[in-house]
Amino acid sequence: MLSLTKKSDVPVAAPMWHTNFRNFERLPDTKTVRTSFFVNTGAGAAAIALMLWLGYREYTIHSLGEQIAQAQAQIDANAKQNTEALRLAKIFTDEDKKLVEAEAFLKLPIPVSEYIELIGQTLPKEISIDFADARMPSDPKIPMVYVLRGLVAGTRDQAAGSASSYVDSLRAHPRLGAVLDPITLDKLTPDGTTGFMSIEITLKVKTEGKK
Amino acid sequence: MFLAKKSKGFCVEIGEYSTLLARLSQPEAPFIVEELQEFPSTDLAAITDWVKGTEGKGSTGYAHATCGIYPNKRIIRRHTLDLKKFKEPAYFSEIYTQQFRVESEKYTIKPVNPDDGSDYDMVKASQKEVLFCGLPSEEIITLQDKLLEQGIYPERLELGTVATLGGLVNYQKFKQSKSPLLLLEIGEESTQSFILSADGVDISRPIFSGIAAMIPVVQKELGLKDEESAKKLFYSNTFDFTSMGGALVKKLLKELQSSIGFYEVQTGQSIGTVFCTQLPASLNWLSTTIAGSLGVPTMKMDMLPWLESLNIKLADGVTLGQPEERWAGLFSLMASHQNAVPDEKK
Repeated sequence: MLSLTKKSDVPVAAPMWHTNFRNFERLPDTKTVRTSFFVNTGAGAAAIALMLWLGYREYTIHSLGEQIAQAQAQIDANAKQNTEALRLAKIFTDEDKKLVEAEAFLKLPIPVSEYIELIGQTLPKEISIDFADARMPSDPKIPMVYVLRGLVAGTRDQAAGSASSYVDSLRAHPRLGAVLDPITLDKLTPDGTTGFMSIEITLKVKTEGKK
Repeated sequence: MFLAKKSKGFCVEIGEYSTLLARLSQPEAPFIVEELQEFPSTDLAAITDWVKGTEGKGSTGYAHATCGIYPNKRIIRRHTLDLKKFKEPAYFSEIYTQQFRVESEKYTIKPVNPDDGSDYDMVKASQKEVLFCGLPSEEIITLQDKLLEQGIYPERLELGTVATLGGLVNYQKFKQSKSPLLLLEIGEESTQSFILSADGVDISRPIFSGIAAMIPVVQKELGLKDEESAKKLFYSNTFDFTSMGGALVKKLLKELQSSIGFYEVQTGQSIGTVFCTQLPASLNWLSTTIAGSLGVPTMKMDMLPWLESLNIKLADGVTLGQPEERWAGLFSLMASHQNAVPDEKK
């Protein structure tokens, strides 16, 4: 078997009259397969393995770089088309929003015309409405809100009572009360210019679960 | 490895003057010596060429060899330890510095038992007598690099002196010799002298006088103008110096006689034979001159029977030539000392 270590002058019983004075450390390695061969082979193999690994890594990086460049070129080539598509998509979204809005408008539980008519019918003489708004959110889950703003004639106490009575009458109305809930008096403040009380009433369309 | 070439064994002895090489049938004994070569140590190209051309180097391209070296600053010294001071951390450093006059941190020194050459047991430390063997650490590296340049991979790097001491102790046992042997390693600048027997190394002593110390004598005796001419003539083997041999070895002899005298007084034994190694071929006659001056014969080795006892055989066609003794150091490097030699004392 080949030993990996140099044969050395291990102190064994020296033959009689044959004292050995050689300095083994200063002699060359003469084994058939030298220790340096194994060391060099091992080091060489490790170096080759490292180089192969580095080569593979470099190849992978190069390959990825090429793929990135190709993808970038494709992105660049498609950029104009993409911009156009985005522009069209935006137009489509806007139009779609309008359509959804229109659709929602058509699907209102109470048509605006009917609402206005009923508000007109139920409006007491001491209250005047100077602003009516119908807010239709884009999200269909959020209920539609009607807002009424106006002035209430009379003293403050009278105006407060009138406004409150009006809200109660709206809640009790068979048609309005059926589709609008809650109906709340959000604001009751004196109006500096007229001396009347300014009011704001919010009427929310009932959600599906409340019906 | 299954398909690898089978490598042979090699043994190299690098002396101051000559380098001896052997190709063996296999690295471990028992083996057959397939080839023997001798080159001047200075002829590095010839050694390198031989190593390149020889077979059996195996897949590494190197000749894996047991190498014996003889550095000038080698230390082979028998010393008596003070066992009471043994545990002191600086004790060995003190010995190296004070006794051997070397810087301990610059030397690689290993203690062995002088009787059998085995490693000295530093844990037990039961023996007082130690043979310290070492050389400068820097020189080990230099020599290794030099060997590698020549295509030789040192499987073992031994001090040739220690291996030779072991070989000669073994030979004394093999011959069942009772008389001690005087071993002289005569170098350029110094001479290592040892008295040994079958029981081990009894005395070691470096003498700081070698062949270089004989040159001025040659110059004076022959009336030459300069030392360089005397040196060339002395090494050339063209002139018979035996007549002035006594004068040449006088200084060395004086030192040797004091060692021998001390030994004889201590042990009551006389030197039986003299053996000189590391001499250049042209100066081999010095061996006879020294032995003659000491009044003892030179040792003649029965090389082949001894080699057989060491499980070493020479292949057909491999001869030792004369003098056979010059191979003693190389064969001592190969000796495993496992040969069964009658030892009456044990």
